[in-house]
Amino acid sequence: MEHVIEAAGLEKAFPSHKALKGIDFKVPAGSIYGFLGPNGAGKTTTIKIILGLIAASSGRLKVLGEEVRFGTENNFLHRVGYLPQDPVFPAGLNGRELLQLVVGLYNKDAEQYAPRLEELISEFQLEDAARRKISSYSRGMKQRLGLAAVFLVEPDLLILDEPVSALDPEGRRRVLDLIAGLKGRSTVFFSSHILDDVERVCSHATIIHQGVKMMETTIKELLQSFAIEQYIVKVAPQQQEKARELLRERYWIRKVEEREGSLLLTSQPGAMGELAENVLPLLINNNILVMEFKHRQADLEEVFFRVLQNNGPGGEGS
Amino acid sequence: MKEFKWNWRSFRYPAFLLLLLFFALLNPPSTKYMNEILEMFAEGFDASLLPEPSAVEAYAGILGDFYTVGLLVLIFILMGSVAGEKESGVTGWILSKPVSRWSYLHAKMVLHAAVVIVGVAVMSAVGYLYTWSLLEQVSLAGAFWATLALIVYMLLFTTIVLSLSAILKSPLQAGGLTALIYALSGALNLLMSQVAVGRFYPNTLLGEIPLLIRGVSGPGEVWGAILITLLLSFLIYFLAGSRFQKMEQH
Repeated sequence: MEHVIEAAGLEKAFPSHKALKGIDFKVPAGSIYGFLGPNGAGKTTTIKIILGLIAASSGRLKVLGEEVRFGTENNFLHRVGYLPQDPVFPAGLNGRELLQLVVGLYNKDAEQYAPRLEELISEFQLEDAARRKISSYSRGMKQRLGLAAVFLVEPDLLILDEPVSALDPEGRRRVLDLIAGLKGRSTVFFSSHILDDVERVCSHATIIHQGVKMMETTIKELLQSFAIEQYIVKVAPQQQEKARELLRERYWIRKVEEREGSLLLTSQPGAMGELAENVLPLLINNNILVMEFKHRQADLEEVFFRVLQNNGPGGEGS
Repeated sequence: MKEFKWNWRSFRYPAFLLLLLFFALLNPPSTKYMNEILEMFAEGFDASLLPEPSAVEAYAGILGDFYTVGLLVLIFILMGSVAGEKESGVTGWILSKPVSRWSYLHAKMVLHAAVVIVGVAVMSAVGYLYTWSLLEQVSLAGAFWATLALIVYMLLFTTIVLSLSAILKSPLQAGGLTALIYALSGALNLLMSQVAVGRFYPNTLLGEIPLLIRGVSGPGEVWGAILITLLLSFLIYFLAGSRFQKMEQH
């Protein structure tokens, strides 16, 4: 199977608003797929349609080769693990009982899964909490327990809705490492508005905004195609003003800004090559000591906002 | 099992069972000693004017408390069974697993029905034995049929409250509407008792309970109502379950 999720023309209208306006995407098998968008973009709505919890108003959706039809039994759920944005679990259970319940819900053999259950309790640092009622857990603990529940049954497709939003930096790093380790073995559909996380683990991404797909590509291509044409130049502090004046006069430079003790140069559209070729000779010929000269790597956050700017309402169009 | 654990640990099932036990243990002594109690507190009261306390009266009183206070407590306990989980998001979490919506409802229905059947049967037996020990033996066959009629009637309301909990938005709506149906069914019984088909009306079962205990009435008098009540329960559950299949879980 080439694609684990295939969505075509997915629409969802609620009485008050239209949450999805015909989005298409294909999630390659074995990929870690980022589903990006600001809050309210339609990420959770899409996930709920994928899981058969709500009905699409129109469009087609296939998950693990099976057509998703709302109101019917979806067999693919045996192979899917889902972590909601704010995990809520049945009341009255403790952490260990919840994991045992999950094993039962997936019709797995409790004895066979007992060692893995203990392993995950330890992996997610829930040893003490496993004996306590879930109602006493913090949000971060619930998220860790939810992740343990998803990893427990080793599903082919993991659907994680903002999976690390409640974790501390260390917990976040550990979980992202675990997710990254799944690449090639399982497919991860990872919804997030935290772009740094997506950049760290995802190979592919779709960006949606106000129910519309803005872009679907690999993270690498995304960063390349929306690469910001910028260079960072660091000169001797006493020469910074002189360098700024010199550079400001060039036709191939659109903007010179001071950023953390360096100069950030933005080229005119299409003049990236000229900027790269001419900056160093210009400064050296004017006896300016250049301490650092490097291309600035755009991060996903900038790319994300540029995509939204270009494609969003009032944007320049894709 | 998670449903049972939650209802047990949150003291819902124990509260229901303890309430039934309370009525099973309260009625026989209060019936037996009512005349003495009245003599003690009401000056000049002549107890000899009152009829002798009877076992039938005590046992019928137990079952009467079961289907009034006991049933209302049951409605209160079960009204959030599905609606509460829908509200909190637990239903969505469970249905995102390979669990069909019917299985989700069946698990709850079977468990609640089992608790009602076992709870009422056991507490009725406790009340029967205690009545026997304090007063005299009531007809065993009569007690059996009366308890069966009561269980069937309570199962109807277990089904109604669970069904409404599945299709309505909040536990309060489900509980309130079930209590309203309970009150209206009692009022409608006055009308139904005037017509021939009224003998199949579920509330007929309640009217038959004291008669069954006394031996005045027999199984032949309640079979029709038992069957209709069970069919009605099944129909309500089926319709609510079918509606639940098409409901979005946000």
